[in-house]
Amino acid sequence: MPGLRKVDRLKKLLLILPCDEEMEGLLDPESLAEEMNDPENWVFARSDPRLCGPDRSDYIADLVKETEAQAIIVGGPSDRTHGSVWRQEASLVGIPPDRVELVPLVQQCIYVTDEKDAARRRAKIMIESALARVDTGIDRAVERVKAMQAVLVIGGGVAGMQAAWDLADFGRQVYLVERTGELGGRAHQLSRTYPTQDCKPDGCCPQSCRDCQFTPRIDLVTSHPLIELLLESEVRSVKGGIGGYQIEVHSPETSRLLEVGAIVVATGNVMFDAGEMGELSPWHPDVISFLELEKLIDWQRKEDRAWEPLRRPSDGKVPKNIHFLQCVGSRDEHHGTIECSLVCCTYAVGQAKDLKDMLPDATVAIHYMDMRGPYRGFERHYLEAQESGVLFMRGRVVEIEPDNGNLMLSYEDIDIGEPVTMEADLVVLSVGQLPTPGTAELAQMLGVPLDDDGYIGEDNTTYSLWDRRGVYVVGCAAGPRGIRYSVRDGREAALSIDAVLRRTQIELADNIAEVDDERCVGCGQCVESCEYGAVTLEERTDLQTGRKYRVAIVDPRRCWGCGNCHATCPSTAIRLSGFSDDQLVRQVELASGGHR
Amino acid sequence: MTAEERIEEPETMDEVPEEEKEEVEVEAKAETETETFEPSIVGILCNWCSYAGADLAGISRIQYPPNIRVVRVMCSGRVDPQLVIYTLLEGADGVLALGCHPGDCHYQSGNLEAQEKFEALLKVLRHTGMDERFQYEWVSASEGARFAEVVRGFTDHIRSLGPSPVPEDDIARFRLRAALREVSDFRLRWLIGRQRNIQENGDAYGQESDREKWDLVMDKVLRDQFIRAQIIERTLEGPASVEDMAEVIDADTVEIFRHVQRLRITGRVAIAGHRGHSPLYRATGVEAE
Repeated sequence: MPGLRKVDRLKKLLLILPCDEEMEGLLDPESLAEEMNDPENWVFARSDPRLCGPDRSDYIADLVKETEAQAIIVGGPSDRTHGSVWRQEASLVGIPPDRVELVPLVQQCIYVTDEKDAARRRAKIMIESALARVDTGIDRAVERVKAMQAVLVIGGGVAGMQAAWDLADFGRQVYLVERTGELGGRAHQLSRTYPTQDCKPDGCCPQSCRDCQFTPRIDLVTSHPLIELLLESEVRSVKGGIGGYQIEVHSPETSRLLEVGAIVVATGNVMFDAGEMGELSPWHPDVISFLELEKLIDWQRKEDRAWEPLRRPSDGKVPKNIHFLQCVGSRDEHHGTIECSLVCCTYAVGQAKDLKDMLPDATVAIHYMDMRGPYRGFERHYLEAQESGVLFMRGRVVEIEPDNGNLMLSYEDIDIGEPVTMEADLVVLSVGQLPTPGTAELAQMLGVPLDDDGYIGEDNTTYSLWDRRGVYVVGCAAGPRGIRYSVRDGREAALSIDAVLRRTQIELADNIAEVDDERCVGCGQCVESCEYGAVTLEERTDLQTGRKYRVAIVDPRRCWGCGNCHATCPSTAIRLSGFSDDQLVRQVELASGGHR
Repeated sequence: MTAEERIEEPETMDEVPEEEKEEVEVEAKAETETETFEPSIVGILCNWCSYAGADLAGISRIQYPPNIRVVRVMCSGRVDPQLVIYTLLEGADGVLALGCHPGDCHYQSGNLEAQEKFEALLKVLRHTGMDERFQYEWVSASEGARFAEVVRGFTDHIRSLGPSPVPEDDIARFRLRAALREVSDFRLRWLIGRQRNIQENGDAYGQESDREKWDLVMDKVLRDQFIRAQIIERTLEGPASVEDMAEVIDADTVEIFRHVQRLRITGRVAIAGHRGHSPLYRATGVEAE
């Protein structure tokens, strides 16, 4: 173990918060502060009700001035809940975040035991541990990186377009990379969007649904002077981290290197291919997905504006028995995904109602497990469909067999509790949604984690780390969601990115791995242990001997500060500031009871 | 048991046969010890799951023995086997490492990396006889009750084991020092670090690895390394013959001699002189930890 530093290095201000009566009763913060107060060893302990009051900032400023404290230890709340609050408080008096330590006296001391003596002993040990942590910490200047102001948006669906448009509106240069030849994504393949009670499809609305005014308009995005559109292009490599990414983008004839400060991932997702579910006869021309139905409806409308009845693909007959199958390749353990796609119930109900309006004599049925409509207005939508005569049949269809030009459906009706077969002449599958192929590769390039279901993870618990990533996942790239939520995602990402990049300098978090060049032998174990691609090997040449050697380097913008590399490094050449060996060793020494 | 009761005991003990008397005395001693013995337990908790679980246990007012002294790390993957052995060497009666459940790691796979390290560490500790004093568990942020249960269970377990032998027992300290030396070794750390990758992706030749076989190999490697580390520790104390080493090392002289020869070849021990016909060895090029 590296040498220990037992000297009292910093002047420490210990604030014991008189949180509540229980705290008062069990610990008596004032006398505890008196006991811990040790000016000779640079521990200045205070406990005062003002610390919990509105003018605590002034009080703390006075204390810091009086004691010349260089570190603050707060006894009371947990780092998990109040860490950011107290680090902010400390920053007001010029104390860096890595010199703020929280001792969870409330959560891990007074609530744990009723005995006064035991609580007090425990509190003292916890406080001493925190004091030692601060004293043995590594002084690190807060690292700041310059923020490039341009932004890359990957994916030109509604979420990506919205993000690009908003960012361009804020005056930022935006590169919008789209894999296909046109913008719009899946939303623009739909003839209508649901629920649409307030929309009038008969021509009152000046826009067609695909150019709905609530989704970003392709022509506006295309013509915006600050949006550079890169169609039929793909991201090939990503280097750097927040504030400064270097991105290689391949376009049909050229390859470009873009420099941006943040990245919006709006790569969407793909529909489950029912081809693998042979029992549903997916090869049959009259078994179609809901997107194909959209195309049929669309084609019908385009060819003849008089709303001619829909015709089925196989022989052009007007279908009389139309059946919708929900949850094909979703909520299924064997095919597709076990997750719900969130939009298909809303969508199938809408399509069924439209078909029923179009063909009043036809039977239109929806086979479902549960009706799930995570939308405002869904219930009204659902009720309208029921009133218009759409049949809702609860149960999963297990087989579709072609029979004499038509299709025979076998399923168990849960409401009756019996197996049933019925005839259909058009079957529409509501297929599940899966991550876009290549998501894993993209995530690896970006240094962001994938969730269990293969989508790029949504970061909902770690708002404090949000800045550090510089990667914002929006729309269906983060999992299935409806159009309006995708659009809102794009808008939110644009706002967050603008707020972060506006600072021009980005402060990186304080616990980051550092490599000791002298000790590193370039074995590469750390590179493998890092999930975020923050550690790489760099080839260097010894100037005297000309010998080439490799050494690990950490990109602080990508490091998440977990310390895995630190514990893994065979030559103990990596050190995680904030949780260095010095700190942990001192802590365990105190905790072990100091027998030796 | 109070002092008064103990004074009274001899009178009744006269009628008890000799062997049984001894047993009763031992039991009585053990009882008084466990009653007064408050173990020092070091809990190394990951920030995202277990530390939050500890907070939740408190907020839910679930009481648990206050013996556990918490050291927070960001991820259980940060817990170096060195640190655990060092803690035991410092006299802690038990070390408890807690992380997120597999699949829940805030950093994707830190806990899986930790598990590999901990499993190897347990094997190392088995040689020192201290493996019962280290335990790792998964506790999520929502498992306040489980946190308390784990802490309670481990504290009771350590109570039943009694105080750590480290402060009094020279051999226990010697073995732990050797274990610390063992897990600080570059090659062993490299091997432990590679474990998970080799298990998941096969070795450098693309061959799949069989966990059982791997464990057998690891057992052998760890035993050999432990003996070598002990040889180095022993020879650091002063020149020692193979017989001297066999007094403190749990291996026969033939095996020890074989390892001494290996260490001589790699230049880590050298002959320092002779006692009678036995050569004495000393450590070279290594420092005491």
